[in-house]
Amino acid sequence: MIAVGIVESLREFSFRSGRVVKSFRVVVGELSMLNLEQLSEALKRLIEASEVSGAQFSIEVEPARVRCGTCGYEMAFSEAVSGLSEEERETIHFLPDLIASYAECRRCGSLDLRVVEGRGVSVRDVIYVEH
Amino acid sequence: MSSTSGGLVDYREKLVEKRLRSISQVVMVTGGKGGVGKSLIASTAALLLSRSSNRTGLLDLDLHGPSSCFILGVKEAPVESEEGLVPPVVEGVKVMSIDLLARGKPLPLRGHAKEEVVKEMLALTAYGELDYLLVDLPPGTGDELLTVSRYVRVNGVALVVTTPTQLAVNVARKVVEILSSIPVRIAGIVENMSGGGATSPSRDLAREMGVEFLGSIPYDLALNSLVGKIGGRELLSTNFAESLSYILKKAGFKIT
Repeated sequence: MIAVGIVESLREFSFRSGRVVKSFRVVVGELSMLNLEQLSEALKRLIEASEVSGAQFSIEVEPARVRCGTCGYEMAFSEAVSGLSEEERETIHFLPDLIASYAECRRCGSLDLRVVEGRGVSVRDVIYVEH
Repeated sequence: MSSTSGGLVDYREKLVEKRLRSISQVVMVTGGKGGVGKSLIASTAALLLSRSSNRTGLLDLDLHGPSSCFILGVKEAPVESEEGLVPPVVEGVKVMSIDLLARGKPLPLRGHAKEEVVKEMLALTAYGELDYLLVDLPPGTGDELLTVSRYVRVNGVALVVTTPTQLAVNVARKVVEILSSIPVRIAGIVENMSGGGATSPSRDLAREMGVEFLGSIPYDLALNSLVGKIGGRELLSTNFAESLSYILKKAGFKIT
């Protein structure tokens, strides 16, 4: 599903700009909990069957960080969710902002938590050539 | 010559567009003021449309005060599948709410996070093919309304809910102005908790803004005592549902 979204985005970028995508970087947030091998295989398959065939890509993981809006304490995601059940972690995987429903600031106890890094999947540094 | 694109490509945008292409009409139930009955109207409208053999979904985007699941008695969590999160079904209505994921816990969210959650819910929820998706919007004219409106300019329509008070109508006017500017088509204004009568601030607003006045729903005391204790089927047998059914027909929705 995510691979389809990425390739669709690149196809549209290429179509609208009239440019040929040569390479791009996929940054996968730690919270997405994606299987990187599966994502890579799906991307390869979809790219070759699309108008952006031949485009090269790399995939890297961005660690997740959480910030407390009350005291400003910033913590690793693993620190914020320590003590949560597997089921709760799984739910947060779908909607990272739900961390505010399940966890609390390790320093001051506030529920005003927000994910500042490591969420979702983004495509960065699209390198292209003009037609 | 080779160059680098500085901006991010948000894959969710494509997924949202793809999902919304499978939905014939997205009906935003809004109004601006809190407590005017938006959630009850959205939930009951979904039930009425489903009863009329329309493939119907309900998306509760009142992130700080979700109530559709409470109204309809939905408790099951969405199920993960290859297609996304498959919502639970009540009386034929596919229901998705942040409440099902937060399991009733409070959810403190700031502005940008709300936009993210709305986008993710639209991208992740596997409604499949639908005739109607009812969207229950929160009070106000903020992120939830603006984010959804941006996606549904083609297949979206808004039901603006007010009560016969100047307070509610003043906020509804702002919603109408915002929707008109995007633009999102406005099906009309619905007056809830109506005392009857040929004149009311809601009717005046409709005339002033050039929007259709779809009708009034009388205050239903019986309904007030039933909500939260009943499921969808009982809701359909209320006077409230009967009044809303006429309004939906007048707005052009497929109600039999």
